[in-house]
Amino acid sequence: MLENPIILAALISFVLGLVLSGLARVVPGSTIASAVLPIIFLASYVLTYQQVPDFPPIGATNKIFYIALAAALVGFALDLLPRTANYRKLLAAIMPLLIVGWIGFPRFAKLDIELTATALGLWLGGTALLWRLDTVATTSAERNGGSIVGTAVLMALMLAFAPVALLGGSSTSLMLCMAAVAGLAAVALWELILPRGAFGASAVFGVGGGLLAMIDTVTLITRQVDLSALALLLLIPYAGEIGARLLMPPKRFRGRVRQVLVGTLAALPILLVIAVLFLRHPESLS
Amino acid sequence: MRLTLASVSMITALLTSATAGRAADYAIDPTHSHILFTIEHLGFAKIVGLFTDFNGNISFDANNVPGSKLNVTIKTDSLQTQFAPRDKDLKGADWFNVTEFPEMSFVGTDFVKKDDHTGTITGKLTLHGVTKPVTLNVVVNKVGQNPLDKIDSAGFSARGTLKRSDFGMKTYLGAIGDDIDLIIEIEAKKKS
Repeated sequence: MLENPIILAALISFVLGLVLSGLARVVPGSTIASAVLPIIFLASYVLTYQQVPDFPPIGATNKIFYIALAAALVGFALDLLPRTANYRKLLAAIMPLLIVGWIGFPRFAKLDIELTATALGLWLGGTALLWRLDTVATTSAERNGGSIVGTAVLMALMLAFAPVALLGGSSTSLMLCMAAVAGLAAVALWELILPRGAFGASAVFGVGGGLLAMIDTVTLITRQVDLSALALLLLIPYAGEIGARLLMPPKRFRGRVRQVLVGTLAALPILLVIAVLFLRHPESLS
Repeated sequence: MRLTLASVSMITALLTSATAGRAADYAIDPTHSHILFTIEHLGFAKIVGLFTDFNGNISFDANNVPGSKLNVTIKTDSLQTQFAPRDKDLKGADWFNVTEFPEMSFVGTDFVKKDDHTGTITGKLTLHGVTKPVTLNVVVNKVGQNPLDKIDSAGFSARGTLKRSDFGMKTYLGAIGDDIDLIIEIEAKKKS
């Protein structure tokens, strides 16, 4: 089983998540514990591509690493500063535009309507995802948010994007998603046992930015992605909240129990993504 | 009169010799040329791929091999491996990345003659935005007039190996081989 590079990378990432997230709990506060999430993403990248790419990076896949790294560092700085809510929202709007611009740069010399619409969709969609992740990160645990929901949403986004990437001509993105999900699962496990609120700006922008870079690479550079299935990813950050309001009265479900249930509901759109892929690409999934 | 004939003979001989010493310029004939590669898959088999769209020029003189020239440009989007989903993957950002790197090129820099029919060409291969030296073992199959179209032609077979990791292509190293074996068959026609 360990001969399968995806399973091996996922296992290493999970162990790394357990160790780093466990060690981070020795330090008081959530800043260091939150930084473990982008470290896991970057480690998953290295496990997948078997390199730390040269700087400046040549090619979109190499840019993913530096986008995640830069976003994590900016997020980490925001975590250290007081009263950064406005800056975080501004970053949630600007960062997806910068990512689309840098990843898609080689194509923008021949800008047409289709490319413009796709780039615009990626920017606005990316903004919606980061904005929502930031809201989840800064919402108190009692109101459905918190570290477990945030981590679960990131995991659900990656699990949903993995088959989209596979059919979009990037089995490597699938491997990166799987490795990152395994590592994030280890963090979520620690959060259940010994909560630290480990979902700050470094996690939102580091992992979220890395994920957006992956999505933009498959969409703009590999250019085989199913845009309908990709658009369904936007449901994931909202599914938990909406489901919770419909199904779980706050009086009956509180605290971490509620977070786990909301996090689980966030994963439901994955089934929708897979169903759409099955319907639209039956030959590829048979 | 005898003197004149001797002069003409000498001039003809000199001209012939001068022509023989000048390299002829050829253009690759894509209809009779092939650029293939093989790469190991999980240790079981070697996958064969080929590029169907390429062009290039050769300047070759059998009597002055080191003075030869070679440049080949390959359209990466023309990659085929006889399995469409794999082709889609290979053309994507993780492998050949045809959007950002639509061409790969080889420019010969060092031509070494071993014997009348074999030699090596070392050149600069640019792939995936990275340029590295690659050496090809070359067999000169035939240089002469094509009996069908009467155009002077030259045919070469070349073999070589490169490591894809040298060009930053490290996807699934271990499962998918690092060594890429090149199989190149070229027929080139003399430019008019």
